[in-house]
Amino acid sequence: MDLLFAKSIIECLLFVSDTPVEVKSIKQVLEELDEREIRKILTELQMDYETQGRPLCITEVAEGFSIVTREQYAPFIKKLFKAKVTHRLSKAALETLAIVACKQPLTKLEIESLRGVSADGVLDTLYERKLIRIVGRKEVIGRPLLYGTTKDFLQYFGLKDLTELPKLEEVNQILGSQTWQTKNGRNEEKIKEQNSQAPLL
Amino acid sequence: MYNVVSKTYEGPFDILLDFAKDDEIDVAGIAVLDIVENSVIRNVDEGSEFIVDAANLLYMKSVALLPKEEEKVETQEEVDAQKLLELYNKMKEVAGDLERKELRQKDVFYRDADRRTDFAEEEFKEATLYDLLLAFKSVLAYLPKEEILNISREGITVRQKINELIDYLEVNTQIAFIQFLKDQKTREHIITAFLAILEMIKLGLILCRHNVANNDIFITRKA
Repeated sequence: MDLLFAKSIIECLLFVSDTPVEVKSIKQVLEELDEREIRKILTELQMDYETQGRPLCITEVAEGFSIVTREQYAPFIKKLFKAKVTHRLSKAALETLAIVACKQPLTKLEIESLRGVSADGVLDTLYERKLIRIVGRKEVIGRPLLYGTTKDFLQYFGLKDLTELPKLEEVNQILGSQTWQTKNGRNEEKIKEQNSQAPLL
Repeated sequence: MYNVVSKTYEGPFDILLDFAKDDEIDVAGIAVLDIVENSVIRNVDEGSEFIVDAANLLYMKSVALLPKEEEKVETQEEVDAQKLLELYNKMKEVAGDLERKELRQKDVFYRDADRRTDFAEEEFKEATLYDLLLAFKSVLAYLPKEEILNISREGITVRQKINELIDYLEVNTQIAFIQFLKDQKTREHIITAFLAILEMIKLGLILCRHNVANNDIFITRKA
């Protein structure tokens, strides 16, 4: 396929999607290209937008690519969409989200043991804003729900993927304690295995 | 009440003890011998009181003079709590990082998803009797005028129409409500078919789904 044509097609796909487009999805459209080639075209496209000084740019976010506006035009866009401005997250919500993001999947109890306060309200808010989701149930007494972050979470913070955040292992390493576990954390490995197979809802 | 006199302190004995307890004076620096030698005891009551106070002072002094115990080894729980705190602080850092990212993202705009609801997945809800009647009327109005004059002698039963619809749904997953009525030959057939649909809904055999966006009603078999 003509690469220029492919590039135009990809640009169209990014334009019509209101959520980040995954390379995988592009591959479904352009079957004859492999993912490496598609990534290359995306990088080219990014460069095009960059060098031509367009008000839009292509950003890698939430495990996909999206066309977004550049920051310097924000004040004008905000004038048009006055009502659309959403409330920012509270400190408590951000902290809870940080814990969920770094330590997922984990239960409400584990969040609460780390923050020392009830997480009910905060979790509801985060769930409503689609920043967290229920990923399964922990196989301990009471089968508590396990929480994890969503793609919306990545998009909200402009993250490519979860690797941009420190993982729990890293965090533990920083603390210099391989042996340390949360009181309820002993089955962590087992749960990860189960989760990779199917949602346990 | 009696006073004690020593090189470093002069005053009531129990106040001296209070000071010592609160670490306001250094117990180790009080010479007990001074106090004993300089104290004048006038009666048995004072004497017994003096002995109690002196014993307390001696006890405190001995504690102060003895070498301190080794630093207590931290228990596992204390270590855990400490790690928990460190972990929490780390999470706070991450939260701060997220907050900065959030602020920056506030100036980045994606295509507005709200505007595109028209193209979103077709939304269905169960058709109400009113929806069905409306569709039924529209089909009747669509009939050519002369049809009305035809008087059919054949008896068409609701049962027949039910079987017809079941047969159709055996092969196809769904049929448009209006299409099914329009396919009927005469007005009589249409009315009977409509009654058949209502009967089947009542029996719970089929489902009429109403597409909110374009007003289409589809008949599907109930699983």
